This record gives sequence, structure tokens and C-alpha cells, in this order.
Amino acid sequence: MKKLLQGNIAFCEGAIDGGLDAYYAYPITPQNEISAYFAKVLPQKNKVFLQAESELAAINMVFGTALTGKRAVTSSSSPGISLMQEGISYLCGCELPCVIVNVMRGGPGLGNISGSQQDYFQSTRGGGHGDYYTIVLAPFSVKEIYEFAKESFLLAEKYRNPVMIIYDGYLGQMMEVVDTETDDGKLNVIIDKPIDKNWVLDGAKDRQPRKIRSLFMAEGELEQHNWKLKNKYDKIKEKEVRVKFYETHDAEIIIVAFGMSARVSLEAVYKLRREGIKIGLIRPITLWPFPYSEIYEIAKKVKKFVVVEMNLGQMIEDVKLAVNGIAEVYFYGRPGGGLVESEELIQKIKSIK
Amino acid sequence: MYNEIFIAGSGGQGVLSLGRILVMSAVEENKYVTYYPSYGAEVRGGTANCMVKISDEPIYSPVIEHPTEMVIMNTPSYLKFIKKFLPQKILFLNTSLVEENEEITRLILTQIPQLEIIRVNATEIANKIGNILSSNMVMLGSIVQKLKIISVETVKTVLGKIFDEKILELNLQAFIKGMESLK
Repeated sequence: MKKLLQGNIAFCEGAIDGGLDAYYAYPITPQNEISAYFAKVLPQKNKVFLQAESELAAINMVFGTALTGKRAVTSSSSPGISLMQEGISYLCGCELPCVIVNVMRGGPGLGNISGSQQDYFQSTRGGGHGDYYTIVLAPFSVKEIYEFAKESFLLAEKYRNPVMIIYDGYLGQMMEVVDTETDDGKLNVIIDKPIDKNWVLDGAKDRQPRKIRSLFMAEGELEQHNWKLKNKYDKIKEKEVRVKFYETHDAEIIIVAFGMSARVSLEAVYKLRREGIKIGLIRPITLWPFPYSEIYEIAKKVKKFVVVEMNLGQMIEDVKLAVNGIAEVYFYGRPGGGLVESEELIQKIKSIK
Repeated sequence: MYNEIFIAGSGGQGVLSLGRILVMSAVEENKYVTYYPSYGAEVRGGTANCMVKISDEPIYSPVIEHPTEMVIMNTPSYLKFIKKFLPQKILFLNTSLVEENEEITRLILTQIPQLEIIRVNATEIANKIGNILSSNMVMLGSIVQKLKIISVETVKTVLGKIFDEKILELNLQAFIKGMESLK
């Protein structure tokens, strides 16, 4: 069905279609539409909606629900996500599946409410303490927000790991058409064997009690646990990288961008193509795991890369790691409060060409 | 067909609704659209704006850098946006609440000589009908009449979907008055 949807509402509809059981959050702009929508709709569907007293409470409610094997979601915007980091570290330590949405705004500190992509580092480098990763998805259209929300539970449960969906406030607030009958924007998560639920704490009647913890005091036990997590992360890196290529076949210069920056970049790509400039775009969809080898393959042929972000340069570090010195990497970005523009980008590209 | 419409006014004048109705109508006619509201610290009385793109082709960026059309509902928005986003084709002004500045008019006409300025006495027309809140519907009528990118019937259908019966009649009337003001 074709619907005109706001980004934040598309998340809600996707999460409901994906089988969400419970939602907990504390209000913050620019994602309050999510709470408002769920407050109205979830009780009608006999699902849990609870406005928490703080972000810390919200993420711990997610923790409690995830322990029981139910599908829990929380959403917030940058400062609120910072407050949740302790909980996210515990969720990863305990290997609990859940979905966390960050509708990013500008920081540091309280910043303001306009959109940004300043939480790339926070999302892809853990954010809390310890050696851990969350799977980070970066939609760039309202349709993708819907599809990612819908499939994110499968991804989280397949690996028993939190999934973060991050998009800037602009994408959260904008509206466009979502056609739920088309395949574009689907993650196509492969479930090749039944999802193991033999860890769920749902009452020990007729079975041995189970224990889920992130505290490992016995000699060697914690190191063992971390090696186990590493194996899982390696498997995710191998299987779950998602990236899209636009006009890269004959490109002499490549833009790398995600989310709203990728949309503005695409406009620049097609404008420049009309002028005869051979340019393409690589759009990482998973920010972790990052498409290092996919970018490296292209860097073997293309020697100029431009990273476009709504921050002062965060993903550029991953792009540099990916090209590993065999191509030049330039940057165009606007930090919190600013929005990248296709014309400024075009000027930047012409200046380095 | 490719229209980039920048709509600005005061919070409470219905500029966001105006944009949404345009977009909803365009969707009914199977066009590609994006709608992108400002959601800053604007409050009632402050400036509010939205960016509407309507096209026969897929739209990449929802951000407008050079609007083809611009709709200005009050003086603060006129002063704030007109030089920042030079409209390329048509400038709609709500003359009831926009105090035009000769120097600015001269300046934009030097830069965009082909610019057409459409002056609509939107707030006054709405007030005469008996509902000052529907000045946005008057402007909607003028836009639909002038641009001819969406059919009048489609817009009426959309209005029928979003307004309660109680206020539909008034808004339809405002919409029609806005169309007639250009005839």
C-alpha cells in the first residue's frame, strides 16, 4: 500500500509490522512523534507503551523485557542516547536483542534540536565501556526507515545483539511516500536456522533455572566471554555488511555518505554527471559492520574519495581505513546545526578534481 | 515537471498544513514528493517554513536550495528568506501581511528578471469569509490555480479527508476564493 509518511511514523509502523512487543522512552525532540504515535496505538494492540521517568530507566526497561525474549524498543535523540550508554553496554555484555533508535540532533552537550550525524563515533565505536559493538543501520529514506524497523528484530535476535537505527532529525521529520508492496529498502535478513531462544528467562517451571549476566568473576571466565563475543562480531562482519553503489561503474571520483548526506550527495552526483563529470556514490547502510573491503575494491581503480557528513569528520576515519592509503580522501561536512548542500558539495568536488 | 516550493510564514498561519495539503494532493496524482518542515525552536508567532518538492521523477534531496516557487505569508518571513532563497519562477505574497520593500523587489528582479510576483490578499479574503485562520487555504487556491500541477478536484478531495464537516465548508470557500482572486 502507498502511504505518505513522516520518517518517525514510518519507524513506528515498521516496528509494529515487525512484531514489537513493548516500547519505553523519555521525550526529546526531534523524535517525539514516535512516542506520541505508540502512546495511542500500542495500547489498542495490547502491546506495552510506557513513558519512562528517564532515559536510564527506559533502557533498563528494554533490558528487562529483552531478558524475557520479547521484542523491546526504545528511541531517543543524541543527548538521551548518551544517557543510555551504560545500559547498552550491559545489553551487549548480556547478549540481549533489542532495537534502539537514535534520531540524531546536534551536540555536543544539549546542542540544539536541528538534525545532525554527529553520533557516528558514538554508535559505531561502542559508546559505553568494554569491547562491544551494536549493529548500526543508517536508513536514507522514509521507506528504508520503515523496512529497517520491520526487520531489525530478526537481525537482533539472530545474533543476540542490540541493533541501533540512526538517522538525523531532518529525515525523522520529513515526509515522503512509502509503498509497502515494493522490495526497495528491505534488509533481507537471512534466517538460515531457527532462532535460539534457549536463554530466555520466562520462568523455570519444568526446566533448570537459567542465568544471564555480564559479571564474570571466575579466573579466565571474562576473557573467555569476550572471545565468544569477538567470534560473534566476526560473523556479523562477514555476513551482514550492507552497502549501495550509485554510478560507480565508470566513476573517477567517489563520494561516500550515509543518511541525509547521501541524499544531498546523490543530487550532486546527478547534477555533475549532466556536466560530464564521472562521479559516483557509495552509501554504507550498515555503519557497523562497515563496508571496508567493498570500498577498498573500488579504491583499487578510483583514486579520489570525498566523504560527506553532517559532522566535522567521523566516518572519514573508516573510509581512510578502508582505502588504506591507496587513494586520496577529502572531506565536506557541516557540523551540528548545519545542513550539507549540493551546491557547496559541487564546488568542493570541482576544487579537487 | 519539477517544482520546488518554499513556503514561509508565521507559526499559526498554517504554512505547514499548506505544504502538507499540496504534497498529499500530489501523491493522489501519483507524483513523487518530499515534504520537509522546519522544526526549529519556532513557536506560535515565530517564523515557520516548509520545503515541498513535487516531481514526475524520483527526488533525491528533500532540501531546497533554489526554489522554483516561493510563498510568503508575513513580513518577517519576507525579510528573512527572500534573499536567502531567491525564487526562480513565481513569488506568491500574502499582501495582507507582507509589507513589500521596493529595494528588495528591485534587487530580486535584477537577479531574476523573469520572476512573476503574484499578490494575494489572503488574510483579508479569509477574514471576510469569516475565518481568518483559513488564509492558508486562500493561498492554496491561488497556488493551485496558478501552477496547474494538481487538479482542483484532487485538492478538494484531500480537503474533504482532512477537515471535519463543521469546518470543511469554510475552508473550501476560502480555497475557491483564492482561485478566483487570480481570475
